Amino acid sequence: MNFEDLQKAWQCQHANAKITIHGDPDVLLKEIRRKQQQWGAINFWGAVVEIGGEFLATLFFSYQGLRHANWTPFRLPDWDSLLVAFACAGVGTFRLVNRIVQRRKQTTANDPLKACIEASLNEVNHDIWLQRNVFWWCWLPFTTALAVSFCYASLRFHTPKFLAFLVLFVIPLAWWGYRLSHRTVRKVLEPRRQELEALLASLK
Amino acid sequence: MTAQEQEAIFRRWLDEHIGLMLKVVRGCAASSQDQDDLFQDVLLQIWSSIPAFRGEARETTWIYRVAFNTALAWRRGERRRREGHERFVKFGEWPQSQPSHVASPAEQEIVERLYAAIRQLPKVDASLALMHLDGLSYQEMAEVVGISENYIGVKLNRIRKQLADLLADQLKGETNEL
Repeated sequence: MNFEDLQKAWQCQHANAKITIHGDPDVLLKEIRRKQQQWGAINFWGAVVEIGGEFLATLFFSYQGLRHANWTPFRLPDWDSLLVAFACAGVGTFRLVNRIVQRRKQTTANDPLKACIEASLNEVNHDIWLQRNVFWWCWLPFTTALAVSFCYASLRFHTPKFLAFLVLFVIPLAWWGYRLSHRTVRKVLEPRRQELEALLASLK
Repeated sequence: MTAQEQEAIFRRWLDEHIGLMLKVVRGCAASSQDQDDLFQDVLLQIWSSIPAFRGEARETTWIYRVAFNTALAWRRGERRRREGHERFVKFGEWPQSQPSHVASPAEQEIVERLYAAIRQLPKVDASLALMHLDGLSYQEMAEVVGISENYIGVKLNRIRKQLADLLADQLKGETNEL
């Protein structure tokens, strides 16, 4: 059988087919609208969780730092809390700017396949870079500020419990987050990058 | 574009181009559940893309682009993990048990073999094979994929040969089983 015969058989299928939809055909449209809203909500809340946490922490530590201050030379704001607030604000701003920049670079589903694959590959490469460098842009500023703050609190209140909290909770948490980022790169992002590179190679 | 216009276009596309969407879905996903998952994603993306449609590209080119891009990004079982699986299209009943008006049983069998062969191709080659079988011109395929017409020609030569080999393998396998 030659290709023309295959093509003829192929083009005979579905010629007058109508889709079978459960119940009313309007259900399909309703379902699509629902899923679009759901998808929008997932994206929105994803952004809120990702960025909002840092900004809430910024507000909390700023309040902690400023609440006892009366701005005289004898009663300055609690600089240690403000340092943590500053670190949180820095990380949050970095995330927000990154999200805005990446959103602008996104292609739409109606772009040519090659452009979409290239854009996806760039996005994955950027995610890999972010996750691999999570120590520098997230954990280092955050844990350094907390470490300074807790050490200062231990000295001020003459108690080792702040230091213990730092060593037993904050540092293991940072280490766990760091390992999790690297695991994500290894298990999710690297295979995706290889897949996209293979797709792109098949178009070159 | 108003919501009513978007809805009207969507309904018309669904009516006129459903076969095209289903061919892409069946060419990229094997089981009926995966086809249903992918089909939902394709419909969602097509719906979302309508406000950007200005009529500069042909409708079929547009739909192919959206459907193939969705299929390339689609991951098996991801939607089922992401949310409760709710089926609204009976894929099991379509199109196998709803024969077309002209296809003979022999032709339907050829089509099933072709789908099985296409699913074994790399994803981009599968998309080109589907468009080629549908009779799109090199120019249209180049618009969908974003590569030159000359390269489309080169790739299609290879794909035709690969498809022929895969179909021959299928037949050989069945003969050996007998």
